[in-house]
Amino acid sequence: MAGSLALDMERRYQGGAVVRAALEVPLEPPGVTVLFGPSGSGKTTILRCVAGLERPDRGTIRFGEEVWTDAESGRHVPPQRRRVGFLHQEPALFPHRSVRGNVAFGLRRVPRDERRARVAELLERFGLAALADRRPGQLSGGERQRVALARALAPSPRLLLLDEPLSALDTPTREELRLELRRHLIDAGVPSLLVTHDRAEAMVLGDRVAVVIGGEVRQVGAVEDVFSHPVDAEVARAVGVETVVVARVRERHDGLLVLETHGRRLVAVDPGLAGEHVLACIRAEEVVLRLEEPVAESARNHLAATVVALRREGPLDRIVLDCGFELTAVVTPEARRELGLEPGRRVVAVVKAPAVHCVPRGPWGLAWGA
Amino acid sequence: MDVQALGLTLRLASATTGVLFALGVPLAYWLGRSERRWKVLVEAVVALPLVLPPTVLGFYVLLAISPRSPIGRWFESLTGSRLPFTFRGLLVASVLYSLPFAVQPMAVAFGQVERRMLEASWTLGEGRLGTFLRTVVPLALPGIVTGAVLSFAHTLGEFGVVLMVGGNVPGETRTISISIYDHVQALDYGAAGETAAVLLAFSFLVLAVTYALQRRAWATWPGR
Amino acid sequence: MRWLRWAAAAVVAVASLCGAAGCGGAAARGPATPVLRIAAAADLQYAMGELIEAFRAEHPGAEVRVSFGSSGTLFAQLENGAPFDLYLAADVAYAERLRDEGLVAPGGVFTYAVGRIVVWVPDTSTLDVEGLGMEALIQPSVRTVAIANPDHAPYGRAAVAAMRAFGVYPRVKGRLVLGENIAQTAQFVQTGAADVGIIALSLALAPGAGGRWWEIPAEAHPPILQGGAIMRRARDPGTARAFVRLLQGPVGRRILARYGFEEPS
Repeated sequence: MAGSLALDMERRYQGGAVVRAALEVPLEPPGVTVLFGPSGSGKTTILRCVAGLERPDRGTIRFGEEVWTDAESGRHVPPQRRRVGFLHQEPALFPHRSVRGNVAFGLRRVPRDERRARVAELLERFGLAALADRRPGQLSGGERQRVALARALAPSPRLLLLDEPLSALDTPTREELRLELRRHLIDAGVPSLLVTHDRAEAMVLGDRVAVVIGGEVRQVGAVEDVFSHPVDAEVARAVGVETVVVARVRERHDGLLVLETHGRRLVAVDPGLAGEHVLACIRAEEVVLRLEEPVAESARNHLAATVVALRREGPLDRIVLDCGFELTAVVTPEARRELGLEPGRRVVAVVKAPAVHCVPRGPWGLAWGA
Repeated sequence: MDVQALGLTLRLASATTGVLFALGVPLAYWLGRSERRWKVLVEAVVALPLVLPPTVLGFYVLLAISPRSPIGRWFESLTGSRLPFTFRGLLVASVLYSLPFAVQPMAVAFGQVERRMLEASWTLGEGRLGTFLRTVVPLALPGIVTGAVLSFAHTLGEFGVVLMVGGNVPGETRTISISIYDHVQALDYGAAGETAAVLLAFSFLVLAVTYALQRRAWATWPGR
Repeated sequence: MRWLRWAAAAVVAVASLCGAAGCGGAAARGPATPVLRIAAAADLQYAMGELIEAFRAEHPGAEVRVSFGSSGTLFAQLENGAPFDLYLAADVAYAERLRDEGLVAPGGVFTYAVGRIVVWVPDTSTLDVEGLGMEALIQPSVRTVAIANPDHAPYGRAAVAAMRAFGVYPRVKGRLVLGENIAQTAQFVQTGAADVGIIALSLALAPGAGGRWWEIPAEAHPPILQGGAIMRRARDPGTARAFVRLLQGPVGRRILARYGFEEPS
């Protein structure tokens, strides 16, 4: 089955705010789609409409063959019949139940033995076995969010919805939990929709990203595409101007990584935690262009490239290069004239190793891996 | 010591608490969670017995349930018996009189249950009734218990309303507070004091035990 | 919520200022004109206005203040030092008991009227109470009969005695509902909650009471002897005595008779 979650909806609020979303999320293979955008852009509203916790004023939400919401006909499948998992920003654990009781909550209709086995398996998988009899009040923030995830996955949801699941945590815990969350989401094999306003989180967790600005979905695509090629200036402002490529780790030594991407080698600083794959990010401001290969230089990465396109951007010119992958640089108009940068011109792009920022990733989703 | 009056009073307080529980929980849930604007009107009506003098409230109840009123006629045609000066009539009046004491703490407790708790329950596949029973009620339990105990204690000491609609029939409507009052009026202060002491001790016991239980209930929920 | 706290504080402040002013005013007025403070039984409610008017006609400048209540409640208050000069009870027994406790001025106990009771129904009732008399109480259509509580209300005691005298008490007993005082008993009947009642003639004659009644013969029950007492701690016993003289004199008798009180023999 190649079904998808298809939204075409509008939600109006008193006071004039409107959230519109036209979006199609493939369900097979099950990856993580990130709704990314600044705070207040309407991401959470979209998520809540998908969960059935809010009703769109116009349009439809379909899940595969099922119509979940159709504002025209008034059809609205209540949340309890959508079989989705939902994670709140602050984990909404039931304070009167133990960790075990929370995880078992959605399994009321499952026979007792089966339920016990399922709960035990989940507690084990999420490293919660030792905490099974604790109350939520006795847990740390990270533990609470793990319980919430285990609880949401217990009844085998068809879709997992996560609303800024890591934002309530302190910074070290959050960074630690990012990779773990990615692993759990891929292991669970459930298509997921995740809301975040944090770029790093979007890149670590997402296979695909939908950029939401001012109540509208502006761009949808693979994470590296959207972050490398924002469709317009507004999206660019939201995601930052940057080249993002998927790279494989070839070597690691002395705190450095040697990466390979599109047949080219890149030297970067090892951020730790990295597995076999990383997202390599290079900001346009940190790319230096020159006409010939230098004899000796401190910068480690010298990439032969061809100018593909030029675009005037404020006081600077934005140069799009092809060096096996697409790389963006910004230069002053004076530098452009001196170097004679025109489409087709061959140059060398120079990038220092610390300017190649590596975002570690857990396992790749099946659809959009490198 | 009027043992019959004490027994009757306990029966009345239990019945009132039972009726208020059945009536008050849904009403309080609606008051606690509804976002309708005219909710304030219902809230005001529920709170009226707090400000109306009990004798005034009792007088209007008496008018309302008298066999000459439509309600009284309807009840008589339905059951063949009348409401004034009967236990059932007293029960009606007591329920009205203690309504705010039951509903207000319950409504506050229901209102404090966070919406995300309900949402979490729904998205875990639980319907509205299941969510109410498995999540809302346990979370609002201290408020529900407080409401029930206040109704009970309030009915124990109720005087003005009983005086107005009761008619002082032994074993039927002569409650302990009426009995105390009669003793005072008959200048039998000894008997009055004795009965009052029993009422006081009993009320104190009920309240103390409830608060003790509530502390324990809260202590096991450190998450709140 | 802050404004609420301020509002509450303002209300308390204003109330205490008014209270202080009120006290000051009373203190200033106190010594100038003597005030006669009367504690009166509830059945005098309607007659009292005319009685005071008549008293003020005889004693210009005198000021009278009345508090109404049940005889028993007023008794308990007087026993505990309530500031009254004159006590007008529905039963002389209360006054005698105060005297026994040493709270009454020498020779201060007096009687001023005899109460009468009637079998009473409101205008809306179909019961032929005038024709049936005491028999009205045992009609099959009658389910509840209201009387005052015989344990402590004089009119209740008289009602029970009268029912006994007519031989209907055993059959009425199961239908009795008891009013806390005679006024509440009348209320039970007037609201229709009780079918018929035995109440004071003074209430049946009260302005706006309406209703129909049958007067129970005075011989059917021990007399309801209404009496009172001049308190030992009366500030101005002379004025109190003057009011009692009026009550017992021809002017007072005329007024009381109009409100259903007979002369004590």
